[in-house]
Amino acid sequence: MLDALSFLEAQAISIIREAYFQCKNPSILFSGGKDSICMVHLVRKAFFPEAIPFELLHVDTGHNFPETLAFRDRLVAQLHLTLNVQSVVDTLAKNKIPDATGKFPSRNALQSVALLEAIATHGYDACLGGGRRDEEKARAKERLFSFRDLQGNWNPLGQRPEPWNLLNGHIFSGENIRIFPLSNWTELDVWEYIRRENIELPSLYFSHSRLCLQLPDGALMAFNPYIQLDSSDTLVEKKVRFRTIGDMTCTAAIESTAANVDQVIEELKTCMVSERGATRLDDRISDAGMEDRKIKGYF
Amino acid sequence: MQEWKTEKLKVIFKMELVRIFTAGNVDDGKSTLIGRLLLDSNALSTDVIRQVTEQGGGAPNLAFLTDGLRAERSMGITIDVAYAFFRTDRRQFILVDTPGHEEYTRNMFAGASVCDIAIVLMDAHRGMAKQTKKHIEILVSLGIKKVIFAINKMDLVGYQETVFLSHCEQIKAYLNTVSAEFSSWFVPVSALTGASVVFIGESMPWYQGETVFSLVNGLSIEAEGSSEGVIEIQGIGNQTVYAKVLSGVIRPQATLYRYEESVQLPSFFRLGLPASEAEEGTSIAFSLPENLCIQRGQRWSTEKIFPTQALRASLCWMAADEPGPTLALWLSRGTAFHPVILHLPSGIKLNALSEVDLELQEPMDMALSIMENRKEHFILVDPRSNQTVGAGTLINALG
Repeated sequence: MLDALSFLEAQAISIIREAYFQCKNPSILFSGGKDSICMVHLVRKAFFPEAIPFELLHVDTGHNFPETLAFRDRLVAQLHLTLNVQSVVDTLAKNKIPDATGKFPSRNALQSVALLEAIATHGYDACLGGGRRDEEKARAKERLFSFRDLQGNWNPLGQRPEPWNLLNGHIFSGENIRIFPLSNWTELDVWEYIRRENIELPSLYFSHSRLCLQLPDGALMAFNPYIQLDSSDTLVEKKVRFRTIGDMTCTAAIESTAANVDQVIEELKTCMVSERGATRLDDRISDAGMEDRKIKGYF
Repeated sequence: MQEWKTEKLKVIFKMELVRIFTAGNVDDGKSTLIGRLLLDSNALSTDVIRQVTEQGGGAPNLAFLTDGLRAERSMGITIDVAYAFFRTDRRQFILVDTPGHEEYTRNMFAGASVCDIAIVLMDAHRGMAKQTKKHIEILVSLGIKKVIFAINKMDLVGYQETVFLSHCEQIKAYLNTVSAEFSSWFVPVSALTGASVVFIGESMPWYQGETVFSLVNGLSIEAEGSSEGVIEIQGIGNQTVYAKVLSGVIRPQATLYRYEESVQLPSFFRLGLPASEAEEGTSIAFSLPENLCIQRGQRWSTEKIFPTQALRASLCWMAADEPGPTLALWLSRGTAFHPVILHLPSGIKLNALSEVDLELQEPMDMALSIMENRKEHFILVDPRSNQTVGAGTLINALG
């Protein structure tokens, strides 16, 4: 019998192959975070010895950490991948949609519009994402092959059943399937896989000194040009790392001395705060924040 | 291997992955039991506990942990399958919370289909409901091997042993009538107070058996498969065949058969690495052999693959509209989609279980041992809507 991690790997590879053989033009949604980096690794293994047969799509909010973009470009060059970047700023300007404002101007929800534009431009009928069911309770309801209608909307109450993980990728023109090969992985599984496979990650995931803005609830935001500082704000230098990497405007750091993969795994085993709870301002808005974004076309 | 190398070898403990689902009537406490398992086994983070405590008005509302959709929380029921995860020192669990409401039985069927252990809840206060019986029927149909009956809400019946025992007798009598072949265990619990879920508690001194937690952590989960090595072709790349091992173990240089043809399997990559064998569930890749027409959906076996066009199957109908007696659909067992004519008995409704005849437009590859092990599962897709309208297990090849 396969051990747990190998089972999850085998399942992911099987889903990735079905994505390729059932869909006409699938792409990989690549954010530069650990989950999408793991997925690129799994896609390599799925088609080895041949090359990765998918294009990468990065929906770029313009608020990325510079380390993420540098890592992305290095990976793309190493593996000779095709990367399409869809700029959220361009999409907003073109469609006359107001940009995010406020102290933490998050373009996170606005990414959906750019994603749908990229899907139409490149004719993708399927997008593979690194989403996991353990991240959030609306994500926990997600299928492996998740259907999106002509408007890119998710209908959580009418999903296609997937008994025995048998996947139905049949769609009509203009519809889309979001594919989540890491559905059954937890944050800890991802890190144990990174350790087992010796996968390289952006340095943001490991402890480093950083100038941070400390919010009243204790959250630490990386000091960056996109958040507006008030006179009452205090900046502190802390030893931090990031558990998730999203926009600089909505991703908080955690205080940590974990400097390598082993130490991160030890830290996670004793950590009492969930991944998104610790780090994502966008999920704190309401208990249905993720469900609402997903219904409107989010990943 | 040299002595010094073995001494240096790290013994890596292999975690087992175990999938569990909850079944039972609506309001018998499935989501609450999952929440209790997570809470008392320390699987919940403080921010998540804080959120459901706020929603519960001071005490954690355990059901809200997995009821991830707004409609579910407002209606107070589970509509679709949700997944939760926790670990012990030897096992990783995927908990599948399935809906109890009759209308959403297809979601329960789908969620349950991949699981190793079922926990069937029954309200001690109300006894066995129609839907409890339906779920037991589905467990039998899915071939679930291990079932824990959790007699829940013992707090509402004063934790009386006699009530527990009479429910156990009632369930056992029902299991006899449906010729259930699974092993079963009976535990008196209160998901609300936590009694016998993770900790044994003090409310039922007459019960000194296993808790739900000790059962799921201890029950052995062995894969029961045949020794026949069977692969299914997932697709062809430029010069590479991509296949998945459906049963047994496959080794390079093995001779594989299909109909009257045979091929010697070249060396292959298993999950992206060169390998000397590949076991059930793993995917392999090898160079396209010459002079053979290899296609997606084909099966190749160390024993025998035969073509079949007429099949009998047990089916769960999953579409809302009542179907006509004869339907043209697609059938998929995981890779290729085969055109099929389905003959249905009259009166089939959403969520009905029945036996049906399938007539394939072209021959489909069959390995006898997989069907005999009741592992030949399929879905049916309606080409007019692209919806998945049914799922089941092939039980007999008629020709």
